[in-house]
Amino acid sequence: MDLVEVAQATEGLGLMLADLIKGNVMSDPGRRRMVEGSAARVNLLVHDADVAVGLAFTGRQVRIGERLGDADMTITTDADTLMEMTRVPLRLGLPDPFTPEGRAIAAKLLDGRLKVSGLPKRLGLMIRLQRLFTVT
Amino acid sequence: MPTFPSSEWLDEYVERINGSKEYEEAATTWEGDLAYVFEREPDKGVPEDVWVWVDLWHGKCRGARYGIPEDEGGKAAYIIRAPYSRWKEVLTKELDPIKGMMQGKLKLKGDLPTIVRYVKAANELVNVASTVDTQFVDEQ
Repeated sequence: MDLVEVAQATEGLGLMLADLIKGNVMSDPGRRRMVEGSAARVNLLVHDADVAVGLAFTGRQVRIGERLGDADMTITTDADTLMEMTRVPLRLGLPDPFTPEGRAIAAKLLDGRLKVSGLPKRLGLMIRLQRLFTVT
Repeated sequence: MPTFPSSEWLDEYVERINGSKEYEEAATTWEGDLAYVFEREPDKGVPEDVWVWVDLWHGKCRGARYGIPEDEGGKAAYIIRAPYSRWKEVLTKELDPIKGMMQGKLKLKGDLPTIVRYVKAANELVNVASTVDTQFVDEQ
């Protein structure tokens, strides 16, 4: 079973996320645990590109495809912020507030440019996602 | 004014890359070649796919070739492809390349984590391209 499965007809952001996760796990195999944790459903909405992707963590793999119903977490932001989230230095699995990049993400979370439904209840899921997506 | 796509346009693009301080700073540790594919749109004056190869190294372009065969261009570390009219939108800044990739309008092949690390350099490559005075082939 592949660690990352991409639904047929998925393109654009869905393929990018799949490549990102595969590349990050290849360079740091320990990140595999972030996929193999408990089951969860996440939606990622990039409003200024008008794209939405769903990530279904089954416990053994992540399936990437269309937006999911009854998601545990929905991340809504713009394309630039999403790219920033993939490059932000992490501390304890979250954007490091001691770096300008980490503070920029925190500021966007506070002023609504980055919305994450499901926090703080699903903080652990956010950490898994951030560790899977971040290239640093 | 060079026509896009053409080898004259590519020469001008390479000159602009090598004159860009912004690109040089953003790509100072970049090592890797890149192929652009301008996909055919016969009704727009692009009868066949056009493969362009650029050799990017530490903030400079060491070489470039226009109209190379697919089997040669396909060996590049990174390949970005889209129909001609999408590229036109990118060059005229009607389409942001990152959003275009997210929307599936531009397709990227290559190690994405590396591209993400160098996204500023990638943006500068586009900014530089948009500074070339361009005559589009479908407007001639």
